[in-house]
Order: sequence, then C-alpha cells, then structure tokens
Amino acid sequence: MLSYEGVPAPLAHLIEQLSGLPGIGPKSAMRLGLNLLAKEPTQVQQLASALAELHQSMGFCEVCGCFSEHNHCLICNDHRRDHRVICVVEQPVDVLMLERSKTFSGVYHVLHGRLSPMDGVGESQLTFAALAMRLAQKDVAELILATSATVDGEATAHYISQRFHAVPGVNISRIARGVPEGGELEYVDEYTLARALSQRTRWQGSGTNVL
Amino acid sequence: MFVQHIFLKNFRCHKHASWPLQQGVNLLIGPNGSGKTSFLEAVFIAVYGHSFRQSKTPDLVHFNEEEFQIDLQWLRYGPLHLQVKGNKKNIIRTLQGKKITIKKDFLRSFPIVFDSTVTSRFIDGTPNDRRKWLDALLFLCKPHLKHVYQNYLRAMMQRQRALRYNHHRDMLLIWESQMVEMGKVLSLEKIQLIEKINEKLADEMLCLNANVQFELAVDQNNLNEDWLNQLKNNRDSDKKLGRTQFGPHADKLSILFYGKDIRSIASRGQQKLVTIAIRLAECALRDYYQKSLPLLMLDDGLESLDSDYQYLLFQRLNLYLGQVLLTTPSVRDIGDDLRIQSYTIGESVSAVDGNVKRSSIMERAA
Repeated sequence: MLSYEGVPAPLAHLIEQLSGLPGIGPKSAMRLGLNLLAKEPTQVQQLASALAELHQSMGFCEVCGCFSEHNHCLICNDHRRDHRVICVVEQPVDVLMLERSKTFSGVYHVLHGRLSPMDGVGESQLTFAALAMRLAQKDVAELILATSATVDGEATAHYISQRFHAVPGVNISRIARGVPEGGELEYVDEYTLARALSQRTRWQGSGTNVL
Repeated sequence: MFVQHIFLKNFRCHKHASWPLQQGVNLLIGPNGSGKTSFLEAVFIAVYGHSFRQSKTPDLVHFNEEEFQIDLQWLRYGPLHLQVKGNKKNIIRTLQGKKITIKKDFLRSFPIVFDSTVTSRFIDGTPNDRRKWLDALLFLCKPHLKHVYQNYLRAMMQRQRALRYNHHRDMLLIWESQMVEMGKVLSLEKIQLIEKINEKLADEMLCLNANVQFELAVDQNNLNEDWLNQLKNNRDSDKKLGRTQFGPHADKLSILFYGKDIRSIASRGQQKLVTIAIRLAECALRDYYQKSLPLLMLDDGLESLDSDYQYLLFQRLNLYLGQVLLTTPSVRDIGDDLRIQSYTIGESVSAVDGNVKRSSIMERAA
C-alpha cells in the first residue's frame, strides 16, 4: 500500500477506490487519478454518472440469470431464438463469450457459480431451482451443459444430468473438448491430447460431426 | 547420453574434486565420510535442483566458504555443460550458460534413477513411500495421468468437505462418481504398470542369476464394481476419520518374496539385490516409455552383498547400456573380464579391463 503523503484527500480517496479494481495496482491507480484530474470536468462527470447508473439500471435477467437492463435480457426476449434449447453456463460472462461465436441460436441459463464444497458453494447457492422451473413450465428439447472442463465444472454438469435426466422429452448434452480450432498439436498439453484421442469422433467428410 | 566429468568446488567435504567417467559402469571407492555420496548428490542437485538428503542449502557449502560450484559435462549428441552455483541461500542452475527455469521437460531430458539406503527408503520404508515411488514412475511414463490424479484428489477433497458440512447424499454421490471415474483410470494404469515392472523384474532376476522369486503387488480395494457402494458405505467412518480410506491415493504397494513380505523373510543381501533389480526394471521401463536410458546411481551399491552376489551384480551392470555410477567403501574382486572403471577417493585407481593405473585426480576429503 502506497502512502499518500502530500496528496490531497479527495485525490487520495479516488486512488484508493481505483486500486481496489482487478488488475490495477496503487501506481496505476495514481496515474488514472491524475489523468482524471487533468480531464475536462464534464468528461469526468460523464464517467461518474456512468458508474452511478451501473448498479441502478443493470441487473440480472429473471429467466436466465444473464446481464440485463430490465427484468428480461435481450436473448430471452428474442422470439427468433430457439427457446427449446437451453445452454447452461457458470457465469454471465460465459454467455457473452458464447454469443461472440454467433453460432448458437438457443437460450441460456446462468448458474452463477459451480459446485464446490471447499468454497462453500452447494446446490442451494446456484440457480438449479430456477432451471427446474423453466424445464417444468416450458417445452424444452435439449439442455446443453457448457460448464467448465474442471473437476468442479464436471461435477456440476454431472449433477444437472442426474437431476434432470428423467424430465420427459429433454435430451442432455455436454460441450466437446479437445484440440482448439487452428491450434498446433505441438502446443497442446498431454492431457488435452490424450482426452482428444480417447473422445475422437467419426470422420463425417467435412471434418465436423454433428450430434 | 552420459556424464563425462564431474567437477566439484567447495561442495560439502570437497574443496576441489573431479571424477572423470566412462560410458559404462563407474565405481567410486572410498572410506566412510570421504565424500562418495556427495558426487552422486551433485548429479542429483544438477538435475533436480535440490538435494536428496533434504538438507538446507547452507549445509552444501564447504566449511568456511561462501559459495559452491558443480560442473557436469554431459555428452548427448554433442557436449552439454550443466552448472550449479549456490551459496548459503539459493541455487542457480544453468545449461549451456542459460538459466534453467522450466523443470518439467528438464527431468525428461536428463533421466536419472537413484538408490541409496540412507535416503530413499524403498524396502524399509512405509507403503506410503513405495506408493509415492510408483506414482512418480507412473507420471514419468504416462504424463497425462498426473492431471487425472490431481483431478481425483480435488474430487476427493470436495467430497470430504461435503461430508464435513453434511451435504445431501445426492451431492455426495456426484463427487464420489467423479472419484470413481478418474480413480478407475488410475487404478487400471497402475496395475498395467505393475505387470510391466514384474515382467522386467523376472528378466532382471534371470540376468542376476539369483534364485529368488519376488514381485510387486498393489493392494487395491477399489477396482471392483462395488467401489461406489463402498464409498457410500464408508461415509460415516470417512467423516469421522477426516480422510477417504480407499482409493488410488491409499494403495499399498508391497514387495512379495516367495509370496510373503520381503522384510520379514529375506536377508539383507537379498533385499539389496531385489532393490537393485527394481531400479534396473525402473530404468528399463523409463527407456521403454521415454526412449532414453537413465543414468543409474547406486549409493553404497554393494552393501550386504557377498563376493558371489557382487560378481553377479557387476556382470549385470556391465550389460546395462546406459551409464552407472556406483559407490562403495570397499570391493573384493571386480574380475578381469568386466569393463568397469573404478576410482578411489584420495588417489585415483583406474582399472580398465583389469589393467591398473594410478593418478591423483581426487583430493583427500577435507
């Protein structure tokens, strides 16, 4: 922690607040603070109002749990999307990442974490109840489990499949793992390669295999 | 790949010392406390970055000195210079003048197998020590299994935590299923490895012409269909104990001599021979999987062996295609037919094909 001796109190307060942000140390915070001080007051006020509005106007979608400005997110409100296919992810940021691929036309369900008793996260901390309600109320054909490929992510996927496999008409699938697109084999670690080999798929002509 | 020369400066009891080596068997003879093991320790430090004696860095430096230096001249496709410089605080290793930062591939590039009665308690040690050895060998032969094992341990810790906080049985079942899924892969691979080791051991015993029968056995309670049920049944006792009782993390590796525990019936000499046979089998396996024969280092390798067994051992080591460094306080007769280079600490005795020549290469220990 830097000492802010000689720094006026309002600036020191700002620096302290900024240095609490991820990836920003005390020195970067001081640079940002001085930069803000050098800007036009109107520009800084715009930033301040954006910050103040963030929590007032932003929230999570009541249906899927993703970021939303109103009660429902844009994805859940979009009737062109296939609401019969639900992709289950751990965090809202995963939705943004999957949306970047522009290939998925279904909807999402955000768990807001993954099962991990060591971190005090059990089933009651995650949004399994909301998912159960969605499956009960809507006609869902497929549940895609897109939790991370870690032990905890695997366990979460396992739990979902165990809990919802008996729901009639719902197919449960898991995202594939293996060699990344455009990746050279020489840079892939041994475990990923071993897994990619053991979970290889039948050649379909174009090199892709659809479930 | 082999070591051509070892130079030591201010290392342990050596002020200045060197040991020129040949590709086959190299024997270092010297009285107790003369610093024989220090040569093997120097090679170990150069490869692993720490001592096998678990001692702190200050103890490695010669009395009243500030720094020590180890220089190893290897020959692979060309000469390789591996240097260790250390003081009382830390150790810096360089290969061809470049600082070594990544250890993972380095251990595969410079494979060594080390055995010492003082430090690596293989037969006398606990089942835990032997399991660690087997796990380390498994991960060296099949590196992807290390990741599986780490995942298995994570699932096991999650289960223990879930048990402690009385999570619902469905939740416990999730972690138990994860443990079984990964644990079965590990158990099967371990059994396959044990089978391979036992095959190699049978070959070794034939080579050593030793009329003894022994094999490694893993006590696994977890390969049956019932493993998941066993975990379910053990929930209360596991919670009470605070640990999971069965699984690949708790396998017991025992060495059976005519079907019984080797420690209870085999003589010290037989135990020593078995230990060396296991090390040779380990070398053969690492050669099979890693495609390079390790440097075999046997500290006090002739301990408890009579002259017949010594001769058998020399015969076998003479056939080993890699390099062998062996230390001993005394040796009876090497045999003229064997190509073994021996050195004596204090004054060097070089015996090649039985022809003895003397040179003062190594300084008497301080």
